[in-house]
Amino acid sequence: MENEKRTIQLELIYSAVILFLVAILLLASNLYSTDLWLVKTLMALALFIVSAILGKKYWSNH
Amino acid sequence: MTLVDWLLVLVINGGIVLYGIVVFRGKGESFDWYLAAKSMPWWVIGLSAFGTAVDSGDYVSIVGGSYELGLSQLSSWWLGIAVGWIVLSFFVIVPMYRSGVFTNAEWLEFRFGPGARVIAVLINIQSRTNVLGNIFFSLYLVLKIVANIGSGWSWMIVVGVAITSAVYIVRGGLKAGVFTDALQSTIMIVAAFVLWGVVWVKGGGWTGLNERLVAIDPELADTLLHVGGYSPDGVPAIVVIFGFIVVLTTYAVINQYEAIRFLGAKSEWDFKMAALVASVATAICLWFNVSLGPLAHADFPNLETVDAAYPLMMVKYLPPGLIGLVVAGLIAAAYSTFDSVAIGISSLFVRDIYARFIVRNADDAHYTLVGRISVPFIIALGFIYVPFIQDGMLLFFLRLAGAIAVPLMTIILMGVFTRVHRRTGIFGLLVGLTYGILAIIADANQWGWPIWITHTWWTYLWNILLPATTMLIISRVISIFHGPMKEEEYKGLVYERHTVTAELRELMGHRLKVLEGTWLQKTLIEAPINPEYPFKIPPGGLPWYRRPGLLAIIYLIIVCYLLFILLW
Repeated sequence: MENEKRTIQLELIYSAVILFLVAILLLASNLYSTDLWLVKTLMALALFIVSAILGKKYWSNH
Repeated sequence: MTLVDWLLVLVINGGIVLYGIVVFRGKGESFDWYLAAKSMPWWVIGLSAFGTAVDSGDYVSIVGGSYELGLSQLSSWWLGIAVGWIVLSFFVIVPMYRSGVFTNAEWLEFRFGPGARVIAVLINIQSRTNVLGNIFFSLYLVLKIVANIGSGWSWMIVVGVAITSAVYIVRGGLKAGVFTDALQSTIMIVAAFVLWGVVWVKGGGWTGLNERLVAIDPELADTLLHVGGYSPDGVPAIVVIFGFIVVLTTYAVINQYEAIRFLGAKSEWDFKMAALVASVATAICLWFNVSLGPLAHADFPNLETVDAAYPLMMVKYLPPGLIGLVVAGLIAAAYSTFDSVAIGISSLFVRDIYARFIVRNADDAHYTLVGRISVPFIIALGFIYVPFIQDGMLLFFLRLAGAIAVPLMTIILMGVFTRVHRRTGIFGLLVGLTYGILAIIADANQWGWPIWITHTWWTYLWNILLPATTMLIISRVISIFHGPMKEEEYKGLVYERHTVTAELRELMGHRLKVLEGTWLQKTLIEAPINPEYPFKIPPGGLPWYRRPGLLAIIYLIIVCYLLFILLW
């Protein structure tokens, strides 16, 4: 049981960090080309929101 | 590709691989490593079945295929594979799941004898390593064109992906494969949507596409933008569509690497619902990929290598950032199939060849270790096909599947749905394989045989009818001379709505004398019995959205309307 809880916590924070990094990279790609910048920014925003939700869940269980 | 694109590929794919390696550690028991201890829920199995069925080879080869064949391919991905998954999960897998077998070839020996078992293993190995070859080549092509890197570097990355997928499968077994597949599936759908969305909008949508195709050739729009638009000389469109449906029905029915997911479900209800999740995810994702082919034809009308269409579209339409996302999706698709082929073929090799014919009395840990060791060798086998697939992956695959895989599907279906005699399986297989291989040779050497015998699309029809008829005739002859098989001999091997599973397990354990005292017998008897439903049925019955049979019918009606009326 304890092990399972630890795995879930690990999955939450791990997913939050990965999604956050992907969002940052998508935003950074606008520096190379502004083509479709709105699409990339909206996708990054969605990823930030999901990442924040997962992070919040992690801290509330911590 | 820019630095940001490479980082996106690394973060997304590296993140999933690391997750697979860190979180999933097999306990060293075969039941846990091969079947995830029969603990998996429906949505994970469904997404995994989709991720396994659609690999990066498909992304590239489907666009290359629909560049020439148009929307006719939708019949395969919307209907063929769904029919296959529904037949598999509602009928074919049911006796296998209840009888405690680990592989579909194992069930074939109980139903049709050892010859059928061995041939099924060989067919599975041939067809799946062919798919691995397609994936290797497609990844290489994408990296070479999109990333603009040399052949040596492209192949090194391909080999790196193959090695890392082997690492997490060796460590975590089926569970690692299935859970990482579910994550990879999400990336795949996003990637497919991103490329399609950008191309669709920039290319002027359906009207713009139609106008551009008509400008190239007035008949091209009719051929490429209708499901019934493609028909080569001597082959009516309906035979093409029949072939497209059968090819993926065959895929779902015969493949151990699909079957093993469903056998790892925690209940019968879970694997039936999984078939629907897989069908819907595939239908959504493949609309994006199939419809990219005609869009690519409008942009690049004179391609020599049709499989280059997908990467060329990426380079033309995607800006930095989105290219990285789509390449990450392609690599995720490759991972999700590498791991599935590895675990599926490993289970066939260990249970159906090694433990059955080579080392029969070792302990459980020994067989799990052999399974782990076989994984890298299985993945490496795919490289054998690479030199043969330069002219178009889809057509090469369709030719071989019609000749070799369809007879196996026919005997599996005959075994599940009819009471043909046990000795007929090997005859059905041999007749189908002989015809299929002769058709290929006659076609390649231009022997002048009629097109309705040798053409790829016709082989799908004949390789169902010939083996099935052979089995029925031989079964009848055997019954006349030796009397029919006893009802007891069919018990648990053909489809039955209800079975007393505990009794069946005992029967299965002692059915074949050759298995007495072996590890195969022990694992058959000891495998736990899972329930039909993972929850209690409410007094009024299940609500409509939890009834897999009803949902399957609704799905089939919708896709038939779309394929045969709206898009025909």
